[in-house]
Amino acid sequence: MQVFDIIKNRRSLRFYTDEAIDEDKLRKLVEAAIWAPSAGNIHAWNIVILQRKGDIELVKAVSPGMLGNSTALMILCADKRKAYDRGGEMGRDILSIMDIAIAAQNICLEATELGLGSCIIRSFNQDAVRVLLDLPEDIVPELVVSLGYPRSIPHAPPRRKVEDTVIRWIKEETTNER
Amino acid sequence: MKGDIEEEKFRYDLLKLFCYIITSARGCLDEPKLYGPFRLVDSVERLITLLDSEGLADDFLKKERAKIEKNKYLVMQDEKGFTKFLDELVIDFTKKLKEGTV
Repeated sequence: MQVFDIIKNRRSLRFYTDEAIDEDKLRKLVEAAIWAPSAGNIHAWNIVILQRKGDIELVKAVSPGMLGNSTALMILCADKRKAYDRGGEMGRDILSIMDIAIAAQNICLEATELGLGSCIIRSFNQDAVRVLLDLPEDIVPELVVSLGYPRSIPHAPPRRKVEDTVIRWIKEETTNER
Repeated sequence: MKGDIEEEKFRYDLLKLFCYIITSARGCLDEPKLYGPFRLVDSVERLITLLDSEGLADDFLKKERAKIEKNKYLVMQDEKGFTKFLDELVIDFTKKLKEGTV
C-alpha cells in the first residue's frame, strides 16, 4: 500500500478478534514509533507494552475511553525529567506530548500496513495507570494505543474538504506577462 | 448458591465497574461535555452486563442494553441522534418504572 492509502485506510477500531499479535509485529510498531520526528531530537518518551489479558483489563478499568476489547496495549509515557533537562519547560509540558502524538500516529499507520487495528486513547486516568504499572513519578503515561486484529472495519466518517481546511494559502503571484 | 470463586469474580468485576465510574467522574472535569452522558449510559450497559452474568437481567434490561450498545457511538458523529436516543431511553425506563414491576 502507498502511504496515502494507509493514511486513508486507518480507522479507530475498538473491537478485535482474540488472535494474539506476534512479538515481531509489536517490535515493528515500536520501531515505527522510534522513527517519528522528535522536537530537538530529544525523544523523551518510552513505551510499556501489555499483552497479558488480566493486565489489559486492569488498565481498561481505569480508562473510560478504552471501549471494546484489545489483545495488546502500547502505553506511551513521557519521560518528564529528560524532557525538562534537554528541552526546558516547553520540552516537558508541550513538546514531549507532541512527540508522543506523532509516535502514536506512526504506530497506527504501521499497524494498518500490518493488517492490525488500532485506536489512540487519551481518556484514562494517568495517576491510576501509573500506579497499576508501578511507574516512577517522572514517567507519565500520556497516550494508550489499543491494538488487535480487526473484527470488522467500519466505514470512514466524512472528512472536511481541502477548501474547508486551509484558511490561508499565500502564494507568489503567477503571471504570464513578460 | 454460587461458589466462592464465582462470588469473588463478581465482586472483582463490580470493583472494575466502580473504577470505571470513578475515573469517568474525574475525567468529566476535563473532558468534552458530551463525554459525560456517554459515560453514564455506558455505565448502565456495563451494569446490565454484570447483572446478566448473575442471571439478574430480565428481557427489558437486555433489550435496553442492546439499544445502548447500538446507539451510544452516535455521540461521536451525530449529536442530535445521540440526544434522540437518550430521550427514547428515558421514556423506556420511565414506562418501566411506572409499571412498578422489575
